[in-house]
Amino acid sequence: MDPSTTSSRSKIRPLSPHIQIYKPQLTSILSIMHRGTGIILSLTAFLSVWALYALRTMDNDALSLPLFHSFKSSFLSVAFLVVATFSLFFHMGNGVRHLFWDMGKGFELKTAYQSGYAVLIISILGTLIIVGGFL
Amino acid sequence: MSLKSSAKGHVSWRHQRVTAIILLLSLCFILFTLCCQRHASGQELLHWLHHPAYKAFAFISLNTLFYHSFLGIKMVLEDYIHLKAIRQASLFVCFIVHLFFATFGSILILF
Repeated sequence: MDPSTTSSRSKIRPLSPHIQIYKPQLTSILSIMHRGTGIILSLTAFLSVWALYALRTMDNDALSLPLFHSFKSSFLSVAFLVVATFSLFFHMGNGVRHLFWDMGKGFELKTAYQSGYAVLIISILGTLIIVGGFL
Repeated sequence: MSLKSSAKGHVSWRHQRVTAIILLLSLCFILFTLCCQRHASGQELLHWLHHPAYKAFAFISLNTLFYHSFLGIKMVLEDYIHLKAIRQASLFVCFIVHLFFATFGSILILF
């Protein structure tokens, strides 16, 4: 094959994983969400270290106040709490699903869909309970 | 630590699963404790962190979390960045950022 043809072909090829040519399905959406929530949780982990630093350097007056009550005061902090809690429940739930797949269990299409819906329901309920408890 | 997934991909995969199991247990405990302490002040939370057992638990959890995070982000970067030079540079930056936060967080917990 002519090398110049190969080179021009490789230039016009779409990059993997070709998301745009697939019809969205629950399994693929949950897979993308697993990566997305993982990235959100990584950013939350960095923020947690910053929060620990802030806690260590706070003065005594600020330290004596209930810590999580300040979450109610701003829309951004409530939105962050909702997104981070949902991400945590979803990533944990879907992670357990992956661990079962690694053991060779739950691969059947029906089971994969059922476990996917279960993860979504648990994530939404867990988020509502935790966020409701904190606010 | 190697940044090449082709050579040591199975090691990363195994480490990701082991850290996931450790995090599953530790995050359930942290979530439960934070829910019980939701009305606590900053002083009470710091007092809780002074206990040696909680200190050790927080140290292990934090470092496991950042190692798991590094392995996950590394996998995403390897899948989506196709130019080798940019991929290697991104992996290096990712490693340094995770190492910095894990070290800084550990210092805050232990001292």
